[in-house]
Amino acid sequence: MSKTINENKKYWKSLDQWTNSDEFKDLAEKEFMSSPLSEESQEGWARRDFLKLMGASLALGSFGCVRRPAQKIVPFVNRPVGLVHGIANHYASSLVEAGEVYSLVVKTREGRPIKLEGNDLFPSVGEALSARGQAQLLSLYDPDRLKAPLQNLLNEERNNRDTVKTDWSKVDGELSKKLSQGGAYVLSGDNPSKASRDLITRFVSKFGGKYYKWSCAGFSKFKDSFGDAYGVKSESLPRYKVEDAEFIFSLGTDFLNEAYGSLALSKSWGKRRDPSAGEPVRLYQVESTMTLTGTNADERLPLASSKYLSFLCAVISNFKDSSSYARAASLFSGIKSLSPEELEFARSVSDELKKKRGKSIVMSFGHDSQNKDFLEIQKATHFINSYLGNDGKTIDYTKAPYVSYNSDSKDLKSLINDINANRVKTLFIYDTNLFYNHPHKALKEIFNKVKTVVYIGDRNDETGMRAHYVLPDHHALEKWNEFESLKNIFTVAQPTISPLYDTRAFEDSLLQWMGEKSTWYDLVKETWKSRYQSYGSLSGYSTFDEFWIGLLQKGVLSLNSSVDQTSPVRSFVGSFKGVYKKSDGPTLSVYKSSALADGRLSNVSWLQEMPDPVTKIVWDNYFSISVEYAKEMKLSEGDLVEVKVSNSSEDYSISLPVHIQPGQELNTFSLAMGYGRVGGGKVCEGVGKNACALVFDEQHADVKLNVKKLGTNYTLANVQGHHSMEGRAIVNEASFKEYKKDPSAGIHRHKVISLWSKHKYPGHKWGMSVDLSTCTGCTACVVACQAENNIPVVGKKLALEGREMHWIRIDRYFEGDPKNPRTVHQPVMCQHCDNAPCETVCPVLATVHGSEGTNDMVYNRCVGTRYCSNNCPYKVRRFNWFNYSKIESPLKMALNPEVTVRSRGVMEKCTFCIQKINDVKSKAKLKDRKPFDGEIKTACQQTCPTNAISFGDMNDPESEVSKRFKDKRTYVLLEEINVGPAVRYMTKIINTDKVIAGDSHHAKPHGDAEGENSHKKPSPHNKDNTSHEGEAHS
Amino acid sequence: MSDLLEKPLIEGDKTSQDVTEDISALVESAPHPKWFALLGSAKGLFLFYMIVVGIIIATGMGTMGVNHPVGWGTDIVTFVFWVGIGHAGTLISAVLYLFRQKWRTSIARSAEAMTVIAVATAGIFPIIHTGRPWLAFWLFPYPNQRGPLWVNFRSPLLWDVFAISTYATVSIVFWYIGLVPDFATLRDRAKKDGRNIRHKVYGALSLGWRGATRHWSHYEMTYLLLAGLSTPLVLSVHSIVSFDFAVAQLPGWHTTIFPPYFVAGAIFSGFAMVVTLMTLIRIAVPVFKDYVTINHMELMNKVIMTTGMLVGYAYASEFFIAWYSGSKYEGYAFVNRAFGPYWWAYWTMITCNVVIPQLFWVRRLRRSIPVMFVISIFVNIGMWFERYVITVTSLHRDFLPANWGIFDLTFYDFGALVGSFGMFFTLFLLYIKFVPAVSIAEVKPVLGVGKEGGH
Repeated sequence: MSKTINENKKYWKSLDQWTNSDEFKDLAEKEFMSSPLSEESQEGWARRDFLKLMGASLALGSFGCVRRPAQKIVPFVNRPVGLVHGIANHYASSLVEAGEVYSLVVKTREGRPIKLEGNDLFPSVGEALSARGQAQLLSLYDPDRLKAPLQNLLNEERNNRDTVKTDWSKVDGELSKKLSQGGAYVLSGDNPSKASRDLITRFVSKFGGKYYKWSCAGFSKFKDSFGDAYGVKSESLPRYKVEDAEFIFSLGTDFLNEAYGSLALSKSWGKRRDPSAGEPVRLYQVESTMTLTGTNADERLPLASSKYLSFLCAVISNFKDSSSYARAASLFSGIKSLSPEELEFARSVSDELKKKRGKSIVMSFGHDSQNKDFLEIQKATHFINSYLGNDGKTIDYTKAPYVSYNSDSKDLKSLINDINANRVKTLFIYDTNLFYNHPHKALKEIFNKVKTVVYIGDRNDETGMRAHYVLPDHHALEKWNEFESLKNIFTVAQPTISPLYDTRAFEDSLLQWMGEKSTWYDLVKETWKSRYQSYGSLSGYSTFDEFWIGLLQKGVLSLNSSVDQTSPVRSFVGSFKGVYKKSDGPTLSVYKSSALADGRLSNVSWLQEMPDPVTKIVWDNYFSISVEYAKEMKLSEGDLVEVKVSNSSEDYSISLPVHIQPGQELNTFSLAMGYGRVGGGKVCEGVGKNACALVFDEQHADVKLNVKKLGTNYTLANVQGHHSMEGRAIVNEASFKEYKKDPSAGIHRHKVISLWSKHKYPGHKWGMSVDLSTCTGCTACVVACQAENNIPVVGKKLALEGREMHWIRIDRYFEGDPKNPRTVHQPVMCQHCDNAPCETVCPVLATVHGSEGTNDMVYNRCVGTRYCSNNCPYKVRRFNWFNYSKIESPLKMALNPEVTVRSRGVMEKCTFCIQKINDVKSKAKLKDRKPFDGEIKTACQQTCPTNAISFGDMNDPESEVSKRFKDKRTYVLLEEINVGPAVRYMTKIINTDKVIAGDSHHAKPHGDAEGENSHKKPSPHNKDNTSHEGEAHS
Repeated sequence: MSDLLEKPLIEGDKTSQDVTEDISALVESAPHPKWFALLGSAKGLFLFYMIVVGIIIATGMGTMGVNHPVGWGTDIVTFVFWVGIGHAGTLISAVLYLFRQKWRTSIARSAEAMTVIAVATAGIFPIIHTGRPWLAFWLFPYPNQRGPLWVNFRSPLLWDVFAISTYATVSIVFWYIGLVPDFATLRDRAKKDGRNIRHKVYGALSLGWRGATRHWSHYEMTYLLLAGLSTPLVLSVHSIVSFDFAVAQLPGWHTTIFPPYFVAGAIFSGFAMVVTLMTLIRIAVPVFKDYVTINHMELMNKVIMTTGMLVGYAYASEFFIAWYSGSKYEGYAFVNRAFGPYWWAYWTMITCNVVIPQLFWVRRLRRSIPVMFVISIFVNIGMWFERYVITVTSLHRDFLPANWGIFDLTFYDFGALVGSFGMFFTLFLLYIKFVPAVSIAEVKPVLGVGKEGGH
């Protein structure tokens, strides 16, 4: 195919062709066969640029046409079973990220995974997947992954970067020699794979070492607190049953985002926030950082982390119970430190808790509570849960708690002891980026004593650089594995693509070094065999082979007939104490951002460009500071500050810009982990700073800070330009009480008339409903849409210029007092209007109305006038300002072949996942039936953990979307301009005693210039008026 | 006009022979070094423009400041600006012709040339502003092999294509027809001087004009018909350009006042540009002072003042309607225009378009060449900002506040804007050199105006 010019050709078109210069051959080869991916680059002059500039002269030169060279598609001689070109295959698999197990359905096309979806059969999570879960796909194709084993030639300080390539046989030879000297230690992160843990244990015992597990921001201290509180040592973490709760009091815990099992928590949160299913679970959030969970709280109080224990004591003292009094008595001095407002909030928490005995949850294990009092805070929390009888009812310790988090913070100390005692000769670091998450000099010096460090990771990163060998493991999607996430709920991981590079499973390496013949696959299968032997009767299969096939098809084995069983009540036996120390000046709180978490996925561009759900900033980390602090210190958005944390041994300081965050506690600086990677890859290199440098002894909150203003400014890329609704009825809200009285509460309806008759949709009419009551703003849908629809990532510079490409965005608005605002999230995608303003203005008919109510975009026809975008009231259209389709290999393997890759100069937008609609429709047609309701799931809907998005046929009165549209809570965004959207929203119902919607919304005349603010004044009779949340804004 | 009738339209007591000599000399003699200097700098700017546009087309629209939500920026602003400039030419040559305003004869030729050149300059912008300019021809409804794929007749952008192309065609034809007798004059003089090439070129251009009575009779009728044909275009072109905005539902665009408001603005800016050019020509070519007299300039300044007040009325009316409509989006759009992040653009516009032309109330000022030159420049700046204000401030903050953004000019925006003046002036300077800049045939009949014993 590469030869396109016949050298013996009789005719020639130009002298160039006649002489057949290399340059000409190059040009001729490219002619007429440019793929969109090989188009003009931004640097240098590519062929097309030349064409465009010198079109006329080249046209002269190329008179007479060359035939497009024939490109033959060779069919398989022997087609692999089950593989048909153009038909997607789905495989059940699973993967684990920082202890969180995702059970997946991997969609593959022609042998390459192109989309990850949650596994329906996975209890309590189902089809949902988080943004990071979605993004695992792109990490498979990360071009910066190691392609072969590496050897680092380290100097004494181990800070040089001299790397030589090596191969597996050489590595095996060298390591076998080293292993024969004994002292082989393994340090890994949370490892939910029993087979892997057993093998590692076997390995270290054979070579005279130990197996340690340490993970950054792990939950081991939390786990330990149960032993102190209940007298029973716990190997698992409790499962919070939000679905059974009526009241949640969360102290500094971002349980919808960064807690363990947050996906399952979000799922049940979604179920419990649907007001049509009864009173929504009420959430009171007390926190120093403005978190995603905080933005979803019914009542929220910003409180410094140093006051958490005192606050809990205030809550306990309000129970007015002598036994509880006694427990907290030693801490009553701390209560005095609380302001009247805070005491009032504590009283309201107590009141709610007393009302909801056995139906409430108190949790406090989040990053904000990880201060010096962490253990005491936990014990006080356990006490409250135990006192209220929540243990065993809303908090599950025995039936299906989380067992996948098995790291131990004490393990690192033990390892250090072993190193200092010269016991560690060869250290294997697996699945934990120790020197990124623990970048302190002291630790590095200790580890320099280890003779041989082997890092099993996928890149030569912070830990890799300090290791003698960097041995790449398979990506999770290339590897066999098995995991246990909740007790007795097992998942299997099967490879969905053969390894892209010369990598080897760590476990296979271990077997190799141990001189064993079996493979890792054998071990995984054996683990399942033993499970089958113990529990086979439960599975319903008669032989292991059948069981194995069934397992690979289903991906999950759940031995709990129902995870919702309750477990026995525990009783609190411990005690808690602590002395309140007044905290002055700014303190730091380090949290896991919802995009990057602990930083292991920071080279995934989807996540870097995922707007933070709270701040809407992309491509950076920053100190979130309060409005008052900024005012006091005369700091404005983006001002750089230098922050210093002093430890007994070292000082660490970093300079980062500040972000002024409404709702942030007065003196708290919040900083996200996951940034500031070194050697992490092209995407994350140089983005942000490493927050872990400021964390000592796992103290994430209430870290004393020295702040210095640097006087320079840095531009943060915030993808949302404005944060107030400006009094417009965009997100409608009502309290649950108001909703009970009038399901339409909060909605300002308009009477719209039209001169023209409406479109007719005799077949299907697709519609989408977005429930703002259940939407948490987690942004998983944005990444799912990106994966499904080949949406490009544009980088910080272009995001700053307002050129991000997301087809669905989450608009986040603040309302009320900036010290503690109420927050709403609103996903906005193309509304597929019946009277679409974009359709009428396109001069070339590139955007047209589909027969099923969709607004279709014809990329090939678009010339890019951008008139449609200007005329779109929702501004959901995205324009290809540059050629974003030029994608580095192998990243393009992640592209979905069912969705066109857009070239530059073309408008694009949400299509309602039309490829999925058509796929299901044709499948249904083959069976001579109509698609049934729920069969078509858009990418955003499928991944949504709270079921906020519903999609279906509006012509089918029984469809969920039709039912939702009939619900009085449904309203149309910008109804008054009468564009007739097929996407409708449902009022956000807040379970508060305050007046939210007011009672005058129906009486308001149309187009009232005063807007909705005027009917949001708190009623004078409202008891809760004294609380913190400043409601009225003039 | 009564005072005008008392004054001669052409000064210097010219005979018909003088007129021919004066005007032909410009074309026939070697250009002044000053002309070369001007052409050199204009051409340099033009080359810069070509490079800037080349880079924009080669790299993508992203090089310019346009973004989400501001989908239209400098390109559209400058397009509307240049199309507006063009209006004065047609107004002077066609409308004033029909109204028998004899003073038009001295400036009609240059005004028409300005129209043609301004429309040509404007025509580049809609093409470069598209995402895929090499496919911009898809906006024309031509028979094609892409199935029954047609254009969208509901789109104002398509109307624009028709309006602008019609306008360009009619302007060129009108201008050319008027030139035919003058080309014949040049041809005859070239033959007399023995200049062969010039004789051939102007001979071909003059389409065999012999000055016969029948020729004149046909010519007059054609000219009248073309004037009749052009007149509605004065109103239609900018009305249709305004539809690009008015038909959209965007607050700040969606107003019915746009068509007359745009036409008034176009005439306003067009006359300002004519004044700018004429003052420059008067300085560069002193003999022009006899043809384009201070009386002409004063009349044009009166038009500028009048249209300026019309535009001012439109600004006030928009605000009133925004408030009166009760639409909070519309209301916000206008408050935001005057007091939002782009307040400086808005007040620049008001100052240049409404306040400064008021100086023309003073007779002394409207007859002062330096004053009118400065004011005309201000008017042009103001009118560019008017389009900027309309386009950018409406787009940058529309219905959903989460979308709100800001638009900043990049180097390429400035390059395209400034460079387009290079194109305009290059073409205009070439016109001055190669085409009789005053209509010889039309000036001769008005020589007698204001003289005793005249017609």
